[in-house]
Amino acid sequence: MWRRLYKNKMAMVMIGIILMTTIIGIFAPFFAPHDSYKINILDKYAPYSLEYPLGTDNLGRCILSRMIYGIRPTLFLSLLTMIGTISIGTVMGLLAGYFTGIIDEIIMRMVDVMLSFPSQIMVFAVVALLGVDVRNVILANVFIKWAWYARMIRTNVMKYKDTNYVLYSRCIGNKESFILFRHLLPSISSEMAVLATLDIGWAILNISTLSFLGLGVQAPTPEWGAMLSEAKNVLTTNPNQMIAPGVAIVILVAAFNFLGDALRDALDPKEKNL
Amino acid sequence: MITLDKINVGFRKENTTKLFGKEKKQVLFDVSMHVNQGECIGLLGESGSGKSTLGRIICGLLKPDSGTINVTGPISIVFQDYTTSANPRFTVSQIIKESLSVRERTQGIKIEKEEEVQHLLELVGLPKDFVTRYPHELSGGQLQRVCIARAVALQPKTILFDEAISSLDAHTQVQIMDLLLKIKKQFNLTYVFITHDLTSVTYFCDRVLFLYQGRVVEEKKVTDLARVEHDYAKSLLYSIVDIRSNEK
Repeated sequence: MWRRLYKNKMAMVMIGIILMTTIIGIFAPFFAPHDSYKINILDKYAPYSLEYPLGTDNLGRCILSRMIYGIRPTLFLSLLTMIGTISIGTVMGLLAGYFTGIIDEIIMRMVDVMLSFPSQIMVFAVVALLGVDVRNVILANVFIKWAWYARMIRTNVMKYKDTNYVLYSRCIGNKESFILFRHLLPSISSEMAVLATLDIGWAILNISTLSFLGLGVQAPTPEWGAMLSEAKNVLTTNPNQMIAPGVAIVILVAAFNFLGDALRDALDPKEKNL
Repeated sequence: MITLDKINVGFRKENTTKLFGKEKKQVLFDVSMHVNQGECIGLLGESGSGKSTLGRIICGLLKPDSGTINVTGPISIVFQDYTTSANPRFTVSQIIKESLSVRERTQGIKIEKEEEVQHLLELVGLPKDFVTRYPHELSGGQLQRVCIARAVALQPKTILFDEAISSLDAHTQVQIMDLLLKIKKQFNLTYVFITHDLTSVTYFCDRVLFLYQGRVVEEKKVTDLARVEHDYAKSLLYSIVDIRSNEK
């Protein structure tokens, strides 16, 4: 599996982009040329220069530094969202798919209710109820997304539940936990990895969208969506302000989506000609 | 050893005529059987006769609608489709260790697993360095031997074979059957052998149950096979005799 992934050039390039972004984000103080909060009002809207490689924003803060520091909330909050979503979705999906009957009914009706709400409105509602805060945004995202995962995982579990090795385990009276965590979870994990990669893109966009609307990460914390939001105020006079955060979001989201596609190819054992 | 009394099984029909209808398609009708310790019984029937369903009832994967089952001692199973009967992500040693850890738990003892795996592989006639292999790196016969090792590892009183050798070629079938006979003698096991293949039954079993459309229509000792009375059993028997006579 790893060898197939290793041979896939697209996957390797995308992993490279994502890894590089992550490393720059983690070691932001080493890479950022300036303090991301330092205001220099005399230099506001400075064009690209050696001192400020991507110019400065409306308060004269270095955009490159803010972009670099902005990786932390953008990437890590979306990762956090995905971890939360997947863990709740997996537990619920496994329970529903394996035990069926009444547990399945209860969980799936809950899922049906969750899925019948428009997701964006749900996020707004949750944030409006709990207050404007990043934590609430993540909570809201997890809250609307787990149902979708639970359904996907349930379907996958049902596919593997009647394979002979699971039947054998049940026949000889092995523990349910062994069947769930050693047989079923590894079987569904590859498909889950693909889904999760594709959905990180969604999470990044969603957090950026909410920050853009002023519901997510709050000023002065640097975040790509929030930076885009500030840039839109001067769209007509300084359009170049939008380029850096906009392009960065596009590249990162695209990288995750391409990686998801590549993973799907690499993990599908029937696809031989890679 | 194993006693089944008037087992009835039905499945919910998917194509019910009524909305919310609960019609059932009955698969097994009043099936009763008894298997003695150390016996090898063959369940013979065509596709759809309910023999696999009966197998699932015996090993407790399905609950019958009515009737009682009584199985003494642990029971183990070997499936027909060896490609899916082992987890493709497990190595041979992990596959066998699953049974060993269940045995540890039920008998409350400690087992030297590595040693025991080696011992079991030797028993089923596989080289010891197979422990690190994955199922897709084995041939059908080898994987079926691993499945047998896994079933024996549980130290069961009974092993159920659900078409366990049907998907192997003739030569491997004979090898596996000889292996099974050896193991049976060594551990004094009871075998329930589900199959549609009469020849392997005659090679192997003491007693045969003919299953036809969910009913046990005939029960005979292998030595008395020539004296079957039911039409289905006769036709099955004659079809084989026919092939044999054609060969001459």
